[in-house]
Amino acid sequence: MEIKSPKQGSAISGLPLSRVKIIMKSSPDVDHISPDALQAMSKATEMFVSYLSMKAHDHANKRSIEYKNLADVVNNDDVFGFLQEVIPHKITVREYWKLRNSQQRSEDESSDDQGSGDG
Amino acid sequence: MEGNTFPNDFLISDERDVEDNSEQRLTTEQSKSPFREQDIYLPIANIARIMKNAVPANGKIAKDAKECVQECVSEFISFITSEASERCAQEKRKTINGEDVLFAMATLGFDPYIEPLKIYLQKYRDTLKAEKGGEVYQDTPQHLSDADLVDHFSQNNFAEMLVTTEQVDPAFSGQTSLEGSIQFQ
Repeated sequence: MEIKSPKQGSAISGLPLSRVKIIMKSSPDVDHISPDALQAMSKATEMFVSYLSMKAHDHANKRSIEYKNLADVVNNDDVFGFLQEVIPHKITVREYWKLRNSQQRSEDESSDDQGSGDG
Repeated sequence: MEGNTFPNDFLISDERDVEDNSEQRLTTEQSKSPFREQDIYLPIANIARIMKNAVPANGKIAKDAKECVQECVSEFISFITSEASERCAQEKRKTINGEDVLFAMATLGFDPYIEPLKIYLQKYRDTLKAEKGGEVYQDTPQHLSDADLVDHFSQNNFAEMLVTTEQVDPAFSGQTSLEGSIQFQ
C-alpha cells in the first residue's frame, strides 16, 4: 500500500497548497478559491518554474544557472514581461555612475538651452 | 483591511539566520520591517527541486538564482490570480474556480499550459470522485502519473519538465472539506 505520508498540502503537486493559497489571497478582491483553482495554480506554477529554468539553462552555456541568465530570459521574452521589474539586469557601480553622469550632463544641457532664470 | 489579513502564525519572523535560511523567507528579510504581502514565498527547497529536475543532471543552480525564482513565482501567482479574480468579479461570482485560472493563463500569454492543465484537472477530479466512491488505492495510482501529460507536452518541449511523481491523495490535499466545491463544467 503506497499512500505516502505527505507533507501538509503537497499531495498532488510538489508545492505546499496552503502557501500557494496565501499568495493567491494576497491579491486584492480575492474572496474564495476553489480546490480546482488551487490545484491548477499550483501545477501551473511548477510548469512555470520548469520552463524558466530550462530557458535559463540554455543561456547559461553549461555553467551553473545564475541570476543574469534569468534576467536574460525575462528581458527577451514578452510573456515574461511582468517579471522585468522583478529581475532587472544588474549593472556594476561603475556603469551606474557613468549612466548617472551622462544623464546629469543632458539635464544640464537642456536647462542651459532653456535659459532658465531660476538659477 | 479585509482580504489582506493573514493568520498570525504565518507572520512569524524567524529572526535567526535569515541570510542563510532562505526557507524562512516568509517575511521581509529584516523582521523589523513591516510585513509585506509580496514577500510571501514558496519554500526554496521545493522550488530548487523543480528547477533541478528541469535541467540536465549535472546542472547547477546558483543560490541567488533560486531566490530570484522564488520571487518570480510569487509574482507569477499574483499576476494570474489578479486576472482570474477580475474575470470572477465581472461574472459576479465570489469563488475563483479552475476555469478562471485557465482563462487568465490564456489571456496572459500562457496558452501552452492550458491543455496540460485541463488534463491534470480532469484527472484530479476523477481521483476525487473515486475517493468519494470509496475506492481504496492498492498501488501507486497510475492514472495520475505524468506520462500522459508528458506525451501531451512533448510537442511543446515540456516533456522533461514534468517530473513530479507525487501520488494522488486528495485526503491530504490540505482541504479539509469539499465545500466551496469543485465545479464540474
